[in-house]
Amino acid sequence: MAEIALVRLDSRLIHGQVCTAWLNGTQANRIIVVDDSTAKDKFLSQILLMAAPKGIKTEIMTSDTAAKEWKENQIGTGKILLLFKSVEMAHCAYFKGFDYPEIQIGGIGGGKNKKAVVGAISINESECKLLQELNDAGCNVYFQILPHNGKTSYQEVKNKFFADI
Amino acid sequence: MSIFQAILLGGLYWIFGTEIGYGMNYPFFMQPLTLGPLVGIILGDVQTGLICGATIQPMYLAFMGGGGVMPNDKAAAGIIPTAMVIAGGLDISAAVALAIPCGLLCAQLHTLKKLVASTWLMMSEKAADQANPGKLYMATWVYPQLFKILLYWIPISIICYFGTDLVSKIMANMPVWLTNGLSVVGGAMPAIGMAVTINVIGKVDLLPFFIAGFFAVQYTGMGNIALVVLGLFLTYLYMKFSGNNGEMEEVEEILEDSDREKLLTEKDLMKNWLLWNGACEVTTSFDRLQAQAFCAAITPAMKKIYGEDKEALSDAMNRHLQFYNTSGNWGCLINGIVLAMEEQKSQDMPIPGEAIDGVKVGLMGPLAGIGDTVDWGTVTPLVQAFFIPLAQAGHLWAPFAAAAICACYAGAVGYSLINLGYNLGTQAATRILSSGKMQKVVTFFGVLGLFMLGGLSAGFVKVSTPIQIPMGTEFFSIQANLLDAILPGVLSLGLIMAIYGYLRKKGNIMKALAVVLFGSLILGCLGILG
Repeated sequence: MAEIALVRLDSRLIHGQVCTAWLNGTQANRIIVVDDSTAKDKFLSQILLMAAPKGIKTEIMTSDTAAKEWKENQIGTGKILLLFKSVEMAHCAYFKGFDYPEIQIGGIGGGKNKKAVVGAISINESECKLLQELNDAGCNVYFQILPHNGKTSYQEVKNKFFADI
Repeated sequence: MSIFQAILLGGLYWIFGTEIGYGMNYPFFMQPLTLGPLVGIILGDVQTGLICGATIQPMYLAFMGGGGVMPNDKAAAGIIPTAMVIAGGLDISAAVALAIPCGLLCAQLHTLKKLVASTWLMMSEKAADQANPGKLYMATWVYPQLFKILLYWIPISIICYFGTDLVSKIMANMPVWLTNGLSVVGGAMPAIGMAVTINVIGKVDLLPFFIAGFFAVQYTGMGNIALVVLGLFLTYLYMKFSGNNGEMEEVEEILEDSDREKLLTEKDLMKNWLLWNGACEVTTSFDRLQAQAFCAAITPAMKKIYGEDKEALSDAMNRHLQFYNTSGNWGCLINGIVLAMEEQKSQDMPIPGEAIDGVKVGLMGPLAGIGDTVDWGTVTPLVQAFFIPLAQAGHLWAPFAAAAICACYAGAVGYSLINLGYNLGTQAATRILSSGKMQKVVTFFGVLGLFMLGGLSAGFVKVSTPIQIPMGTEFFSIQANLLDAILPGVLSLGLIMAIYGYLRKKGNIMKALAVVLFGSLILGCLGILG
């Protein structure tokens, strides 16, 4: 039975100092990336595996596989850092049966119609609605970029930026 | 200080603040090491400026932000204290203590810059929709720098001008115990820079090399060149005999290198590299970070490739305004690959815009990881650490030699990667990331780096105790008779290791700074350290 040290949503997945900081902080020894499009794209998968820190077992799974393995045996052994690339993926995997207790939103790039809510994390209305559903289902959703930053709860962000939906 | 000098100082800070020239600007204008003598030139005392800069730099080694955040403003930490020393009579050891609050305060100006950057971003979006490169360039190259005159130039000039009198008054009335406390701070703070660098270079099992370097210098007092030679030899031995440079499995090269007609010339690549280098940190809004810069750098090439097709150009410009953040030098690989892909796309090969986005997003993370660690965590601190003692000894050329080496390195990496990316396309990424060579290079720098840093830290970090125990008619000096007799420099090394251990577990550099600052100040004032 694996222990999930951290579930993090970061559109840049494994990158530099951010990843190192969280690996050190959680002492995780496995990284699992759950993303359907990356899993099916050979080039992107290759890049991701090569970018992973040495000495840490890194895997990429589709949301179906992740949900299945979670239900079967809690994805095996070890201490896991779980990474999602997008809100859609995090939502999709959760409602397929991979019901993680909490999720840290660490980085989402901005774009048209998105609002910068915490530092460099930007979300739009539809992403907010998906996060609302996760929140209502009992998952603790919070925003935090690096270990020494404070945590901002989903409720805070919603009230401040998306109060009218 | 005359008003004119204050204006020049503000201007110096503004030059850094424009952040034009990732590979050129940062090595020369973001480091206390080089800013010290530059301030000295402005204020008429180069030697003091030189020494001041070289004294402030060590604690800032390997200081960098993650995810586009600047935690501490090194330029302000270099300019303001040095100006206070030369013009206000501030004690040099107090300059080290003053650097921290200056750096923290002015880092907030950069947060403001990010907030205002959204304005320039909106202008860029309009420019993209209208396929109007001119507007994009104005919003990237001109408006932000004008705004920064208000944001950076004026405040720093004001602080320097009015701060001098304030500092003079304080220095005239400062009690001896406080001066002692501040000099202890000056000896302890560099330990932070050492610990941060060790943490970034990363591998705990290489730590013995740091300790070896430290004691090599403590016991023999060997000079820097000797340290480098010994370090190279030890690194060679390590690389040769350690078994962990295993061969990476052959990676199948997936994407066919298609025959495309190459529209871009060497000059176009050079232009893109220069523009990207110039723009990448100029205006970074919170929501999209380097997106605008990437777009501004790539638009000239897009104009050449898509010619008169305004819709395709607008499409491309919008495509490249999406969130982007990576390391400035190593990220050039992406620039090259994207240019190749856009070229293919324009020649009707089936490459959807999403594929290009996918490559950018997929690669920006990994390259940021390698780039920041190697460029800012290893190469720059090592080069700086090597030249700092020379600067402290009064050699004016030393800081600039260090900066020039870093700039050349940055140029070499960036330029060769953009060419590699353009010529090989996506295969370039596979080749770079999968090659066992990368691992070897990183390990090589890691081992040599730690050894060198250990040796240099023996000179940078000075923690000792003046406590003497009366024994009859004589005094037993704890430092000289006990600690140095067992292990010279043990207190200094202990401090470095303690900070390193803390950073590994919790990683909050700001807290570490605060604790060491106030801890050493209090212990120094009390006479426990000194």
